Amino acid sequence: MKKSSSPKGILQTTAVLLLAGFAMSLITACNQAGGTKPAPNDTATVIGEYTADLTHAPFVPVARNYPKTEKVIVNIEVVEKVMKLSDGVTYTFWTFGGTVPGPFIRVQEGDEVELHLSNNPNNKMPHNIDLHAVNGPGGGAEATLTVPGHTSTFSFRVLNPGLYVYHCATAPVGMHIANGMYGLIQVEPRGGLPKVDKEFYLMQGEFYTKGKNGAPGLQPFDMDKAIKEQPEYVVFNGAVGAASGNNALRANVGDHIRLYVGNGGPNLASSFHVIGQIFDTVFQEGGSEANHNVATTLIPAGGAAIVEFTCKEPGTYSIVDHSIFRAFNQGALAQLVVAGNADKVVYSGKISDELYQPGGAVATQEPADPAAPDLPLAERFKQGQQLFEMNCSSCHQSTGMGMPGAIPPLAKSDFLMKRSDEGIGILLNGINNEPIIVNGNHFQGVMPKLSLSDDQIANILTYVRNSWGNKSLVVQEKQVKKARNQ
Amino acid sequence: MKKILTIGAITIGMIASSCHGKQLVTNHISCCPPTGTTAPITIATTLQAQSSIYQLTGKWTDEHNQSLELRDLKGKVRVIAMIFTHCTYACPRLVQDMKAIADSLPAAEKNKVGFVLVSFDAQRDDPAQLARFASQQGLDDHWTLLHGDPRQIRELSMVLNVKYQDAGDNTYTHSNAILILDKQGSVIRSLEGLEAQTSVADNEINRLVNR
Amino acid sequence: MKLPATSVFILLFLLPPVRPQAQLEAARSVRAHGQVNTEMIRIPAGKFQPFLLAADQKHERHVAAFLLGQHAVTNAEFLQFVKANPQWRRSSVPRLFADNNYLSQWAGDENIGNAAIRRSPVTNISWFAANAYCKWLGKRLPSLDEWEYAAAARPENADPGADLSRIILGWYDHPTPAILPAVESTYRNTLGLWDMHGLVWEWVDDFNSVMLQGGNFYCAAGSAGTANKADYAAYMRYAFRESLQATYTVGSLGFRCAQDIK
Repeated sequence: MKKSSSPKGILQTTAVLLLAGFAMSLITACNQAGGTKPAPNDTATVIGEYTADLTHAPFVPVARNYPKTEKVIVNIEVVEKVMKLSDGVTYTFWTFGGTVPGPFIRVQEGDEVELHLSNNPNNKMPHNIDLHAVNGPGGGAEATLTVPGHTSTFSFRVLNPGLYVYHCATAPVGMHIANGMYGLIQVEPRGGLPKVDKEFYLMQGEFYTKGKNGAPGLQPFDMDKAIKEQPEYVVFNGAVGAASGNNALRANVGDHIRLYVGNGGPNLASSFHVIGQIFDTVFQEGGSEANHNVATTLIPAGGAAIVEFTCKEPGTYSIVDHSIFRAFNQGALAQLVVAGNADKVVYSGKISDELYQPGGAVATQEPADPAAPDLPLAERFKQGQQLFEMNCSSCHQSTGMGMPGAIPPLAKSDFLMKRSDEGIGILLNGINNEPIIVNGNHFQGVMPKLSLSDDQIANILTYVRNSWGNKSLVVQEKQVKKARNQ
Repeated sequence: MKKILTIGAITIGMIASSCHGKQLVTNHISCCPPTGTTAPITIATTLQAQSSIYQLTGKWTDEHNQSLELRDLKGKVRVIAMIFTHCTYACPRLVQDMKAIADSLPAAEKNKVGFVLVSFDAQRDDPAQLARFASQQGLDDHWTLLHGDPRQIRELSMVLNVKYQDAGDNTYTHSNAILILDKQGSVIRSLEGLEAQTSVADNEINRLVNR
Repeated sequence: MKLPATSVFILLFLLPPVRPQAQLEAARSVRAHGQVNTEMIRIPAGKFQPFLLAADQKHERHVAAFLLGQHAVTNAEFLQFVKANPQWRRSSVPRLFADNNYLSQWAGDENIGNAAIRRSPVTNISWFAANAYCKWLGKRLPSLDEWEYAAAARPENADPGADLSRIILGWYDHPTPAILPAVESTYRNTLGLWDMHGLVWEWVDDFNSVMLQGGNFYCAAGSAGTANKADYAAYMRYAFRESLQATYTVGSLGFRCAQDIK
């Protein structure tokens, strides 16, 4: 309603309402004319009431499957908070329910959903929620605009089954979404979906930070990059590594898996793919039509898909945005670890590896040493300190003292400081229950092999070997590279 | 007893603010669900005063050039809207809607209900202009038209939750609402939009008149 | 709520005549209200392009010269007001004028409690409370146009390339600290005003003139002009105002007073 005198302003509003009404009548008409689905039973009397169990990714609430139409109460609190975006990188996320993505809402076709949106009093911004499962102006946005310290309530009937994105739609919408305000609502068709063994919730989103990917510290939002659609991070479930490594999804051979996948955007469409799996079924765009035997499915920003597949072989499967630089350089990588026995009929594994020399011998060549610049001790020390705090300090303590009898000390550790490899081997390989003696004390335990880059290992060791009374030279990346290649 | 009253007051406050929350952002029908959830009927008058808009002080002038304060409106159920007389589209419709409500009241209720129009336009809507407007519109003595200074108008808009903007050239962009106040001056209902909701209003008025 | 008419009269009487002097010179108006010592800055008349009308040159607004508080009203200053006007105590204020969180950061009716927030901007105050405070001093809340116009002034001593939106967006990027910083802790702009951005939101008199929701607000947030950074920063402010009602109190929402130049 810009610059309008009263009559014009009113007319504009009226026009918008008329348009909305027209659009809605079109939708109704389509439903009826399409004929493939019965008209939704939106007038069914509501019988019963319950408060929805909400889950945080990667978990999905259990489908309740009830014969009647119920009133479902959904309580969501908006929280603005600093969380980890990547190792050593933090960000002020705006969240539904304290996580990115927001909680998974699962209701049943025809239900009346009563949504209570609370805006935490410590927040700065007004927020609201636009659920794509709503038939009505703004998807609920208008009804839920909420100032910090208040709760808004509205209710809606979920007339259309399917998987839908919800997001904050307070101006500027792009920024609210870019800060993490999105999640999924599954409107279960009557009768429910077929039973599967495991269900997971994944949601992709990109982050536009002032600093480049990996630049440490609390990173502010970068409007220019967001407008140019050039994110520094593209991630699943709100952070690099949120669904990989220790946080990987887990299943067993033979399990039938269903993934509810959303794409919060705000900008990029996702070429969603699980490396080494074929989706038996895809409900593309979260809709009702099942497509079969798909390897990569496109999920638009603000859209979703349900994919199903069966784990036939054990192993670790990478879940990626197949716009592949996003997976390898920006974080769009999740993992599914499948345990069980291999079936050589389905997948042989490597059978042999022989020389291949068409047209005579090829001169062997030492791989060129990739550029691994030497950095000054102070710089590696600073980066290393942050990495140490993120990765090591929970066991070895910030003081480097470890825990007597359980975790060996690093401070003045003869075991570490006398090693000819500066400790690189330990970080590359971990320690697997081999007994060691540190400063005369016996230790036996497991130190996990961390997924650290050569550069990061050099930083950590430089820090550790120059802290708490330790003193030595800087450890450079090329030393780590050399050790890794041996 | 004091404790109970306090709790009562808080409850009312919460009910009022949650209703207002909806009212702010919806363009349709009204803020509160139709029945059962409006302010409890049994509260003491002193507590109702907590939400009475008659707590606003300041002198207004009516179309007969009589000075009055809002609290002088106490004692009758009031149907109130904010308009400006030079408005050519929305305001005449608001007035029409209010007239429809007035016309549909049973004879027994007519004298227990008053209709109030407050102008946004402090400059042009002086008492004389308000009197002209009343006569053009055929508004009888159940109606009160109020002229005030811009600061009072802004304050009143705040308690009625009516949004408006001076568009600069003596016109006003504003939200369209007809509000129903109980005898103590608490806003009980806000009818938003430009569709006459005569029967909704009648039911509410009937309830309040007989309270 | 009702002010003793005599006190208002005396207030007005005490107002020093304001000399229309050099633009940036501060016009002091120190008043004998306990410790309330409010320095007002003279804001020169000028033209101003309201954010929401940015696309239409014709709607450039003229803002007349006025006085504006150098900093937001502090907890300590507001306490003086509450002591002088007991109807604005936390336990006395009618729900018509403030919601339940009114002054919830204080320890009691006339007790701020935490000394660390004495010089922090008072927050958790409703529009009515802010309005009443300004009235008490013979002042008023600034209009939305006045506030936006004054807040658009550049930071003093800023780098030539420095851009106000960096301060604003920087504030959005960080969570609210547990203890709000004191006033005059962020930056001063070229008009001499402190903390116009980056400390708290501030009430304006006609915040309820913002009507963005008529359809072009949620789905087409970029429609009101180009999506440059300044627009984004301003959008947040307008959206915030849009979400308010006059009884609401918010932990990051304060105010400062304005005054006409007679």
